[in-house]
Amino acid sequence: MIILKNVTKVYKNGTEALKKINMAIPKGEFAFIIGPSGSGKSTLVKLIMREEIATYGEIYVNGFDMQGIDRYQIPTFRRSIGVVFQDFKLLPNKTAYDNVEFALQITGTHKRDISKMVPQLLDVVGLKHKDKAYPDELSGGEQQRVALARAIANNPDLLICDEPTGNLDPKTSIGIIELLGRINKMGTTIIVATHDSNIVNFMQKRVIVLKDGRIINDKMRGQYI
Amino acid sequence: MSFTNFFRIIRESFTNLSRNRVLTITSIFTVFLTLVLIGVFGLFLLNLSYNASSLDELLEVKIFIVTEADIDTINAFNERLVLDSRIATIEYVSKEEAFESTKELFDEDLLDLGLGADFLPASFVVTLNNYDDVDYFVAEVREMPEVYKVVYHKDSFNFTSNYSKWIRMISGVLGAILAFLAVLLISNTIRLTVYSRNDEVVIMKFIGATESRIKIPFVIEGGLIGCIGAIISFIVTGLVYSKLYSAFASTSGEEMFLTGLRMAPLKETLLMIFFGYMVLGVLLGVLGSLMAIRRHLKV
Repeated sequence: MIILKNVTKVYKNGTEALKKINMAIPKGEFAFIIGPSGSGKSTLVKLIMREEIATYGEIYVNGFDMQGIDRYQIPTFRRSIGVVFQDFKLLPNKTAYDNVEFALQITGTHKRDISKMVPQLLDVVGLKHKDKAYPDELSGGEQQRVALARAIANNPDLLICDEPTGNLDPKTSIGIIELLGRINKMGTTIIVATHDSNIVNFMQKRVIVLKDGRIINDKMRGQYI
Repeated sequence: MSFTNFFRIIRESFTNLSRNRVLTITSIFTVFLTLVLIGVFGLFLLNLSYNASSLDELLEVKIFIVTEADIDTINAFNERLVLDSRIATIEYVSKEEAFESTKELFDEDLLDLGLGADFLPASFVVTLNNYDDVDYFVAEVREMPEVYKVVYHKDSFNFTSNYSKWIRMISGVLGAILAFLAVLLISNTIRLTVYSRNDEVVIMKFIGATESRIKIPFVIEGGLIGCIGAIISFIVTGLVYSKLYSAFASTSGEEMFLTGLRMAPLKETLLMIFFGYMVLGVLLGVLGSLMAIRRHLKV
């Protein structure tokens, strides 16, 4: 599913964000990537999303070669992943329904299918009753649920979450992570980059620990160190 | 892209433009100024060339022979013209032919006024091969004793060759500066919409929108700015031209005959302005957005 071989990332300013990273995340796994600020978490996530390109090494995600992928193939690749951000990135002038609908429109889903799928997706995240609410009428947790519904709208094989609970209180965070757990059980591979020890310890899933651009620990049922 | 999608993008573009109202209006105004300036000079040149006659006419020289010249003098003169290598064509208009064509111009019978063919001079209408020869040729011919008068399109020729060159240059430079400004302003407007919609772009990118699906709305926005600017310019220029045209059409026939001025036909000219403005306006808009996208939109 995700394979990294000897991956090094050096930014233009000379910062070596990742150093010879080797890892593999099989299909259907739930993995946390943790580490202090500047450890390379975000860079690793960006490489997997193909927002950045590795300086050296090989990266394969969902069968796509991230180093050699053609420009026109990138949208196809991105349709096989879902992304959740810390700041939700909901469109403020669109309702919860419209925000989820937007993801389906962009990928050219038929109007008839959209009207069936959006209520189902909102139901999965427990917000069917708030479909007409605008983001500013929703709590942080609810906004992240809408963002999750949008991320899984196109039925991705892989869901990448960059600090998904960074803006949420501990209780709400657990709710979100439980929801991610349910999505994972449906077969979606999930990667969560975080430094929220609460959710890591709660889930008891694989934990990959980064420090100074290197993997210093990788445990199948890990705890936040 | 389906029709529904296309109309959605157009609708969204209008909404986005109305969000950055001040910049949008400024950009539209610049497009308007650019197009009107180019249009006014364009129309001026169009009417000038419409009046300045064809190139052949500019090469044409009419030589009137003194009325008392006999047939031998005329023949001798004709011989000299035939031998002149600068001349391409020669047409002889006899006194009688001149009288006939003059009669057609006037309602009253010239004979009633006691005038006959004798009072009109015979003439040669010659066409030269080269513009540069016109002045020398005319000067030479004027010196000849059998020549009564020489008429040629010196004024219009000089005007079109000298002044129109300047007019073209000035309008070209001003037009280019304004067009450049318009492109810059549109680019700035689109840059701001790119920034204000950064989240939307990021979402689209990670949802798997194609590059063109992300970029096209911005290009359409630029095109819309150009299009609106073009429509306003067309309304203003069209109204002014129609007014001028009707004012010209109402002047008396005599005045028209004496000045020899005509305006380029209304319908065709308006159509030309409309399409010209539209093409140029949309082009400026699209160029502006492409510039902004290239610099500020990372997909």
